[in-house]
Amino acid sequence: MKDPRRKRGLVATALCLLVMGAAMGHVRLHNPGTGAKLYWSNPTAVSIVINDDGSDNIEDGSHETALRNAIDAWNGAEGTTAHFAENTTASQQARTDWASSGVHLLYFDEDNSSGYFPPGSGTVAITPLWFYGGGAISDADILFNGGGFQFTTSAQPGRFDIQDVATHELGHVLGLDHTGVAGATMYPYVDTTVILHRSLSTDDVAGMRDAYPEGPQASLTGRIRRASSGMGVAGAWVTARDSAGRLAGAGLASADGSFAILGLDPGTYRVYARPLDAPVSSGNMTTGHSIVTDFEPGYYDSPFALTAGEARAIGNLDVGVDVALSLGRSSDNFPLRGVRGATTSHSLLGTGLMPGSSLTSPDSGVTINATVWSGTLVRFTVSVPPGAPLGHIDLEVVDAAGNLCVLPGAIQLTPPMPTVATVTPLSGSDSGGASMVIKGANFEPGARVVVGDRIYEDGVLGGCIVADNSTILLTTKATLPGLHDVVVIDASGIEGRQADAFTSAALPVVDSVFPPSGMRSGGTDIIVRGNNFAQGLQVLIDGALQEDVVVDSVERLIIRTNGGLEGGPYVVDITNPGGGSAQSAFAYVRPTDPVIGSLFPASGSTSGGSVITLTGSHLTADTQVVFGADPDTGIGGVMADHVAFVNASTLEVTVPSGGGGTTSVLVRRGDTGQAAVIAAGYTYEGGSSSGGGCGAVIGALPQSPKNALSNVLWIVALAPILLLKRRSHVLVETAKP
Amino acid sequence: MRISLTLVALIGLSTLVLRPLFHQPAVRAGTALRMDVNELVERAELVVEGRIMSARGVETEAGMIETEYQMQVDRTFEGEDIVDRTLRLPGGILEDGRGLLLVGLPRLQVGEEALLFLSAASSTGVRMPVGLSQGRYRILRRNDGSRLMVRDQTDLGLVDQDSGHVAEADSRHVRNYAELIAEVEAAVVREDALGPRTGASTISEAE
Repeated sequence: MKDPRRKRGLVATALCLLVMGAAMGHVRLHNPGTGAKLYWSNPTAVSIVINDDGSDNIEDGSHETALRNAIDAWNGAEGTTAHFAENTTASQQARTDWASSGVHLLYFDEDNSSGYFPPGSGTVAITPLWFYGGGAISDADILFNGGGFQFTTSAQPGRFDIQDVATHELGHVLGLDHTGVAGATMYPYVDTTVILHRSLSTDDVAGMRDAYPEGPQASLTGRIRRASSGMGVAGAWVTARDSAGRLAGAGLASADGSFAILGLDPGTYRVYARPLDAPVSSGNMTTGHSIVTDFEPGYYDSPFALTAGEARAIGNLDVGVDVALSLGRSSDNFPLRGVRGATTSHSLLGTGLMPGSSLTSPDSGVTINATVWSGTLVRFTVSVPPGAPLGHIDLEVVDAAGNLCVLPGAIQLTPPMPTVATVTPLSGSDSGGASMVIKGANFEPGARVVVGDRIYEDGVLGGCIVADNSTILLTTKATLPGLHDVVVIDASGIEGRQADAFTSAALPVVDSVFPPSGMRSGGTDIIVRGNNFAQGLQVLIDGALQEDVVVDSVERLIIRTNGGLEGGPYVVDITNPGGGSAQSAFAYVRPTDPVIGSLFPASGSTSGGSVITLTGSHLTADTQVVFGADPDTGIGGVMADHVAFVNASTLEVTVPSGGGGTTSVLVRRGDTGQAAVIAAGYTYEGGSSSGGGCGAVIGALPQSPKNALSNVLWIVALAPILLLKRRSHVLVETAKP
Repeated sequence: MRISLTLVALIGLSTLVLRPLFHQPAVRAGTALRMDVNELVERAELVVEGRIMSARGVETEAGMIETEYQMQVDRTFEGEDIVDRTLRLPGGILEDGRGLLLVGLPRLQVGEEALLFLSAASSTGVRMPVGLSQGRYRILRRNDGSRLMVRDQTDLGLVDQDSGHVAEADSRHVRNYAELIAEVEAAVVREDALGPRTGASTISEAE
């Protein structure tokens, strides 16, 4: 499979041949000085730490879930003892000393503190591996060039997918080199549009089985030779394909053409050899391999059956001279995605792709239909039946002259993309416990759900349950507060998400309820100040659900009361979605709430003393008028020195001195505490602006004793009720199983 | 001359401006951006051709392992022209056998001729090959004395078994020497015409 321009009859010889004997299964990293393969001496618990600073591009902590998913991809490999053990202690996650042998860090280097990302380096991520002469790895870390590139966990265009890049680099941490399998995670090229490297191919798993085998595993050994001379073909890429036509394992032949494909399951395999020329070439391998590319791909004549743990020598495969036919270039993005139950369109570059050629897949269930042959490009469709098993399949081209080219693992079959339609509830306590129902489509067994910094894996204790193709159930764990995407990721790494679908909020906290009472007929606007108010929260007053509630912000709530029986104070119960609640108090009273209409004049001197007319309705002889009180809490401000009751619509008010600027004006019944306020009701002329009568005024002006007392009295009156309520609440909670 | 320089500058400028619109940021693992010669020159602070005379692994006080190369420079395309240059690159092997491998980073061999595209030196004097392995072309000689540029990370020579000719293994990685040098020269001219580079470090190398 060579370029037609190339000369024939060439072989490659290593100037510094370091790798002796058969290359195993996958391609392993090795000590460039001695050729010793790199390995972890204690692979069952390779410690790994995710630095908690994360990426400057990721604000919601989802870098951790992306990196954990990448770690889990390798931990899910079967037949190997290799296992990452994440250390999540806060002190470890705070570490940035990645070069220390005491920590194996996943670290976003935002300021080139490592020195590996100088301006213009073009390096997106790098994996330094320290090792001893014998090959034992003493330290490994993954550094992301956070200062030079943008990263994403939510498929933002032009940014590198953290999980995809991390999964690849973690393969290096475990001692794997790049592979010649186009669809594998260890394939050497990636792109901002690629996410399928998130899931391991059988070739990647075979690499782990090679390096860290768990129990006896089947293997195939043999030798690739030139048909013309019988000489070994150095660096031939040898692939085993199972009876279903799927990629099962691969390996790089050594300098004498001998190879070993390790880590195979029992089964029947076809084996072929191809040159490692494109899209992966010798340039993608680390120092020391001897690689020849001037031969035609070829198959062993018959398949080989393997029993469990069987080591089978399959003899020699003689290959012919090079042919002017190749498929796939490094500029193509691999793997191509075939979708179960769908037809997808693709194109690949190459040479010798002439009309009259055929393009096929060894999986008889998958239909390849080539539509355009243009010499250097072939366009084609891939049709996958609905029930097709997932995995990687090869592509084969045979030209009109019968020449063969095989591209191993080029297509990854995936389920259709999951879609998330609805998420209920919309929010929950950040301490977890919310029962979440995700509705959508194409949910597959083995799916993962990511919400904020949490991962829920299907079938795992504390994970999620894929109830059916359109429903996933889970109970939230403690989750970072904030607005989070809900993401469903299938086993191939394909994801569907609903952005900003779930709010994780802390327990609500109530600081103030104002006014503390309102008319029994309802319609009073209550301002609740506090924190952690989540969208969708519920408010009960005396057990009655309030229907008109607006969560203005996480710190402010507006309730228009329904009305209720005269009396109280009643318990106001504010419950966030997910269960967190807080209590306060409110009373229903007989009188109608006071209303402020206007003040005239609405401005005056900072020295006060002027008499203004306040008009409104339901004013009383004991109505207090306060200038500069907090409009949300009624706290603070200065009470008018004198208020003359004219009638229920009119008061004559002597303005107190003020600090300048526009300020609030509040009226409050002295007997019930009912109140009304205008936020910008009166302007003190001649002084500096106070900022509208809220915080600045409160801080600047002391409360009059009477005014302060009127606020405190309500709190004192309600305290026993609240304490009683809290106690019963605690008792109920304690009694839960 | 003025017209041609202006033209070159315009072409270069338009390349820079339009590249983000058309350039698909495919990368090769290590992981690094895939770059052509223009980009390599654009990003490099030092572009030199020469022969590696010696290599020595050193361990820094910070516990890093680096390799100090002595290079006899034949030609400097970009950066200060120093005939006997000391280059320090990350990674390497110490005498006691311990080593540091940065996957994707080229390792230079004593005796090899190479064209290097290197970043500015860090405060400790370490340079990075631009785009990892893309920042190094090995120069191989055919029997007739003509030269080829091979970009890979292996110690691999592709030699005709019978004639000893060096062969082209993959057009992406093997280039005609004269063509590639001409591209580098043109890129340097473009770069110079565009004026001071952006983003390059001003830290000078202690050599």
